[in-house]
Amino acid sequence: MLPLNKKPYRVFSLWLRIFHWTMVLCVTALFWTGLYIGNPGFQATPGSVEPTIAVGGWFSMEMIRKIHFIAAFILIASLVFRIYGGIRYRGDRLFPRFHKKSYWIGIWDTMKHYMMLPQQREHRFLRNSLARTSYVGVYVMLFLEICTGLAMYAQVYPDTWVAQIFNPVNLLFTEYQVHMIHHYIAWGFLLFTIIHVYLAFREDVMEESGEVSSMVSGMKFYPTDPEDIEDLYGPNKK
Amino acid sequence: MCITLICIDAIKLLQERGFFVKESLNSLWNLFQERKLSRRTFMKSCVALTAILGLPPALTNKVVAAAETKELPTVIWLHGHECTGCDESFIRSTSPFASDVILNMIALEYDDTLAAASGEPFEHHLHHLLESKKGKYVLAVEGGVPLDENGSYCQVGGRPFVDVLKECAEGAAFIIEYGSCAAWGGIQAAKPNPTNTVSVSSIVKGKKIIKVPGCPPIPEVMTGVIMHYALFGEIPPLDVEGRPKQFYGNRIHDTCYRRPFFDSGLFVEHFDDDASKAGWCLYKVGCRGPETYNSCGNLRWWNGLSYPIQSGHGCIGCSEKGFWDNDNFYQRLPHIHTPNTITDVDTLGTVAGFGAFGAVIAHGGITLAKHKYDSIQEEKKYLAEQEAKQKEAEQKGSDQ
Repeated sequence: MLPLNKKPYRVFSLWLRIFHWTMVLCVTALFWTGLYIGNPGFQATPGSVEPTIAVGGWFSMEMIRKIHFIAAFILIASLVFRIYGGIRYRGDRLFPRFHKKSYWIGIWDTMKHYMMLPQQREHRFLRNSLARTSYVGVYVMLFLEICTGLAMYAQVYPDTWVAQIFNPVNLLFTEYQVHMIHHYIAWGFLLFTIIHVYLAFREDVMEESGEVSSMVSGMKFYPTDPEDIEDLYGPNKK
Repeated sequence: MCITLICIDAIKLLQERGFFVKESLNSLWNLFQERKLSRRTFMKSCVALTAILGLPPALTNKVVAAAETKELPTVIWLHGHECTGCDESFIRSTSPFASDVILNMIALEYDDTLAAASGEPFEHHLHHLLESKKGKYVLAVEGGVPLDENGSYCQVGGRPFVDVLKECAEGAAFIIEYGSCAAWGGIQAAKPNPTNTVSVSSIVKGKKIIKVPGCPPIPEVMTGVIMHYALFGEIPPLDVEGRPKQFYGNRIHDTCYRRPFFDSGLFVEHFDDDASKAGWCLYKVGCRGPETYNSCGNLRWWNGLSYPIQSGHGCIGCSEKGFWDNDNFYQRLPHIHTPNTITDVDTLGTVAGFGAFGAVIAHGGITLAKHKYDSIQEEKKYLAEQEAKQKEAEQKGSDQ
């Protein structure tokens, strides 16, 4: 039940919530299928499978790659929609404000908060400075994964327009290194997911601000206005 | 024995056609007539040429017309920091008839490795060529260019190779980088690159440069690139990295005859298992086919006899930039290049994942413990306050 002394704030648009969960599903599928493509683990031995029909199986490389590519293109589309949402709604672009002093103070305060050091007063944010930074990190990782991924995808068709755009990625590194970079960054998503999910749950348990359900309902609850409320309502409104 | 004979034959042919020929050079058709070969043989050669050049059959007429009229191009062939394996590959392109033709279609005026016995006069010949054929000759370069110690790690005719290269590059119509050394720096450029060897294209600027990488490149590819110029008077269409599209337009992976096994998820686990005998995909034992552009899958080697994957060994990606640093060649994921590590990224990622999971649980535990501790402290404080108030009240009561 909602504590009576808390005020609701509508933070995330429906747009963001839908594509957040789309991306969760896509990244999960991409990570596990990607691991399989990098190191196909299900071992088949001569005699255990019939080569003629193996290509249609669920764990054939063909199928796993197909899932990987479909998920990848859905992810790219979701990212485009997320960018649109970010332009349309203020609550969808809670990015770090590097030019503001409050951001840099916020980093230190949040670190103290997570290290459980004593603080002079309680800080409440719609989204704290560390979280803002980490989301930018995720977008950078997504961008690199998409660039290297499409560069690899286009290697099969070096004459298409996709290749025209993304072939320079192969030039920056080598074809093999592009595969490796794509693979290395994927593990970053796993680490991010673990920490992200933990911190969201921790926030919800400790602050009772509806952090976890906010990605379903879009609502967060605070007793007083959070310090970065300006980012949600704009500089003029209070 | 057979190869030796072919070699001797090839060198003879080279000497016949290539060396010390000062009179005007003829077209292919004239050459065939001189050799008393029939028009039918000529036409067959032209059809074969069209196929090797990666052109559609409809262009055969153009190839024939060009072969009748175009003069054979002069080629100067330099050798730098390398093993001369590309030369070995090149002279072996004589075994099929079409390749024999190709070899005879260029006027190979200078090749210091093949004419090492000629000595000093040959160097004079080079200088004569540089002047008389200025702007017309094709410069083929094999081998990397070491730069440290003023280039003295590689000396040709008593001079640093980098100087020779710059001198010869100046009047060249265009430059062909034969082999991975000339194209990317080669094995000697492997980390930590002790001689600071670089590719030809990082030394020579402002010239059209064709990269024909490979260690060595396929003989028919080497000759085919020159042929394209000989017949059409222009360099073949190049991809974004400067390689001729007709030979480097496909990955080995996409032309591999073992590709169906890859798609089906049927992989060789060890070189001595049943899957290896059955000819399954070599992806898991480190095949670099998915990252390598070359013609091995369709042209193959030694007159289409075989290529590494067909022989049961994965591709090592010898035509790719930096392939020498992508070890281990027998693993899909290489070890991370840090001293004293014996791990790959998947192991590292799994450990880091579990580490993060453990850290998160520990952090959560500490958070809850601290929360509990804080509330107990608060309760104690509250009780103490209450007690103090009560005592105060009692004292007040007793006072009254």
